Amino acid sequence: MTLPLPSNNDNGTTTTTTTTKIIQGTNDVVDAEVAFFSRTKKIADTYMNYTRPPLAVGLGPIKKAFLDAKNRGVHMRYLTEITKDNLSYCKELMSIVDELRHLDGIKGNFMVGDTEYVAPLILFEHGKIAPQAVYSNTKEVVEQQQYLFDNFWRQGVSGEKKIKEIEEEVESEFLEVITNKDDANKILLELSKSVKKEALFILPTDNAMIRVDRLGVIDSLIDASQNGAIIKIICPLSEKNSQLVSKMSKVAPSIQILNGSTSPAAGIFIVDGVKFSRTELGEFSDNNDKIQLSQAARFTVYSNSKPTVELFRSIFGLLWNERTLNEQLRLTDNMQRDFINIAAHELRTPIQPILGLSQILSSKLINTEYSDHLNIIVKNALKLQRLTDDILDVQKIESKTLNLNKERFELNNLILDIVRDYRNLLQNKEGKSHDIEIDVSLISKDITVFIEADKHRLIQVVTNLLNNAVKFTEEGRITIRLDQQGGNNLSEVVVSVRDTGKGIDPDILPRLFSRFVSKSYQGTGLGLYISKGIVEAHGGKIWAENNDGANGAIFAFSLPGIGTNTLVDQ
Amino acid sequence: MKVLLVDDNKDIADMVRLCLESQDIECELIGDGRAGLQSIKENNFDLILLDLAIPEFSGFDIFDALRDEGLLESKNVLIFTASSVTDQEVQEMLSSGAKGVLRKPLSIDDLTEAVERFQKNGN
Repeated sequence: MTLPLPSNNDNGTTTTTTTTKIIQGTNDVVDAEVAFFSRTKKIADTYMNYTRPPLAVGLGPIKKAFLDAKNRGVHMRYLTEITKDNLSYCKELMSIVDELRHLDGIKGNFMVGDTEYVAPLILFEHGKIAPQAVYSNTKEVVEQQQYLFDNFWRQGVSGEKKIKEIEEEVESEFLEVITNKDDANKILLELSKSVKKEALFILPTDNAMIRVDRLGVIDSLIDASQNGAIIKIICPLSEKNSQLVSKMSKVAPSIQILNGSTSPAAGIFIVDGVKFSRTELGEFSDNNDKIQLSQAARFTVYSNSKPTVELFRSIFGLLWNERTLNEQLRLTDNMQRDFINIAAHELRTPIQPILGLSQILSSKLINTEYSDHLNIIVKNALKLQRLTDDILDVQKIESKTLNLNKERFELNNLILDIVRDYRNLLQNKEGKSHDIEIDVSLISKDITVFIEADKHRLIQVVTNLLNNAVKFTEEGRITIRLDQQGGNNLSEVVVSVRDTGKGIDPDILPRLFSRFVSKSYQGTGLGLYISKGIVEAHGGKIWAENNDGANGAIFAFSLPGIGTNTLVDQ
Repeated sequence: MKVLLVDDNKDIADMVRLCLESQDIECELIGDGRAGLQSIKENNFDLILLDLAIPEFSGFDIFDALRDEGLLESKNVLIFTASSVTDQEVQEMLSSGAKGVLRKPLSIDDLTEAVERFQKNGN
C-alpha cells in the first residue's frame, strides 16, 4: 500500500514535506481517502456529486474511515446533491457526519481536512471508484479549498429538510379504482380535509354539490379557505344549491364558485396539485334530490399520478378562464340588454305627442300646402313607433323571454281572417296597392288544421310576410298557401306566401333573416328577424327562396301541427 | 262622455285632450298621483286613462289603492303606459279589474277607438 506523503510515522510526529500530485489507480485512490480521514484531527469537509454518497456508505474501507474519524471527534461536514436515487445513502450518511447539506447541481468531488486535500477525479459515473485523484498538502491549496468549501457550504440547504421534501414528493405513486361507495366517500372527505394550499373541484350537477356537502366536504373546504387555501369550484348553479352557495360566500368569501356544466356524468377533485379523485356517476338521471353521493357514484379513481394531476389542473385552469370570460360576457350582455330595453321604453314617451299632435294637425289641414309635410312627420313618427316595438320584440327574442300565450286553434280560419283584414287595409290605402290581388289556397275546405300557438304572434308573422310581399310587388298576385305534411297524423303545417314581385336580391338572400337587413325604406329591418324568432319559439322553421324560373319570391314557415279533422266522409 | 287622464307628461296630456275634444269628448287632466286618486274616487268618470310612471305616487299606487278599495269594478280604468311592464304584470292588472292596456305611443285613431268603446258601453 502506497501511502501518500506526508504520513504519520511511528512516533506520531508528522513529516512536513509538502506535495501536490496525482494518484493513479482505484486502489490507491481509496487508500488515499482512507488515509485522509485517519490523519485529519479537527475537520473533514466533503464535497461530492450525487453519485458519491452510495460509495461513502457502500465501500467498506471508506465507511470505516468515516466512522473512525467520527469516533476520534473529527467535525465532519458533507455537502452533496440529494436526489430520489441517493436518498437512502444520504440518510445513512446523516447518522455518521455532523451535518449534511444539499446543494443543487454539484459537479466534481473533493475533501479537505486540517492540512490535506483529496479530490477524486470522476464525474457522474454511478458505482465507479475514481481512477485518479488529486492530492495536496500544500498549505495554499488546502486553504484555498477550505475557503471554497465554506462558500459552497453556505449556499447549501439542510439535508434533513431536503430529504423530507423528496420523501413527500416520491410518496409512491398510486392509482386506485374504488367501486365501494363508502370507501369513495371516505376518500373524498379525507382529501377535502387534507387541503393545504389549493382545492380545484368540478362538480357535475347541482345535486352533486348538495351530496358532497352532506359528507362534510364543503365544511372542510370552508375551513381550508379560512386557513388561506385557494378554493375554486365549477358547478351548475340552480335554486337547489343556491342556499349552499350563499352560505359559502358568507362564511368563506374567498371561495370562488363559477356556474358551469362540464359533463353531467363525472366530477373531479384536485387537491394541492398532488392528488385527485375523479368520480363517475351512474347513467341514471340525477334528478332525485335524495340520492346520496354513495348511491350516485359508479366508481371513483383516486390517484397521485403526477402527469394526470398536472393534466387535470391545466384543464381546470382553461375551463376556469373560459367560464370567467363567459361570465363577464354575460354580464356585459345583460347590461347592454337592460340599456336597450330602457332606451326603447324611454323613446316611446316623446314619440306619443309627436305622433298624436301631427296626426291631429294633419286631419285639420287636409289639402293645404302643409299636408304633405305633416304626412311626412306622421309617417316617420309611426316608423319610430314600429321601431321601438320591434326593438323590444328583438330584446325578448334574444333574451329568450318571449312569452307565448299558446292556445289551440284552427289555422284555416285564422289565415282567412288575416287575409280579409289585409285586403281591407289595402283597399283603404292609396296608390299602387290596388293592382295587387291576394289569393288563398288551403289544403281543402273540408279539412281543418289545428295548431297550438300564440295567435297574436302568429298574426304578426303572417302580416309581416304579407307586408314584405306587397312591398316588393308593384302589381300582380300574392298567394298564401297552407300545406300539411304527415297526413292525418299531422306532423307539420307549412304556411307560404308567394309573390310575383322582383324577387329577393341574391346579395342579401343569405342574411335575409338577420337584423337590419333590408332593401326597403319602409320597414324597420327587423320584421323578418322577429318573425324567425317567433316561428322558432314555436318549434318551427322559416325560410325564403326565389321562384324557380318565374318572378317573385316565396317566404314560408312551418309549425308543428297537432291534428286535422276531415269533415266529409272519412 | 267624460274622461280623466292621470299623466305627469304635460305634452302627452295636452295631445290626448286635443284629440278627444275634437271628438266632443270631455277630458280632464291631472298630473299628480294623489290628486288623481282623489278625483277618481270623488267623481264619476266614464273612463280613466292611467299612466303608470308618475313620480312619488305612481299609477301603480293608484291602481293598488283602487283595487284594495274594491273600486276597479265600477271604474273603467285603462292603463296608458310606455313603461316596461311585463306581460305578467299586465295580466295581473287585467285580472284585478283593469279594462285594458294601451301602449304608448299609439295613433289618434287607435286612441279614439279605444275611448269610444266605453262611450258605447256607457250609453
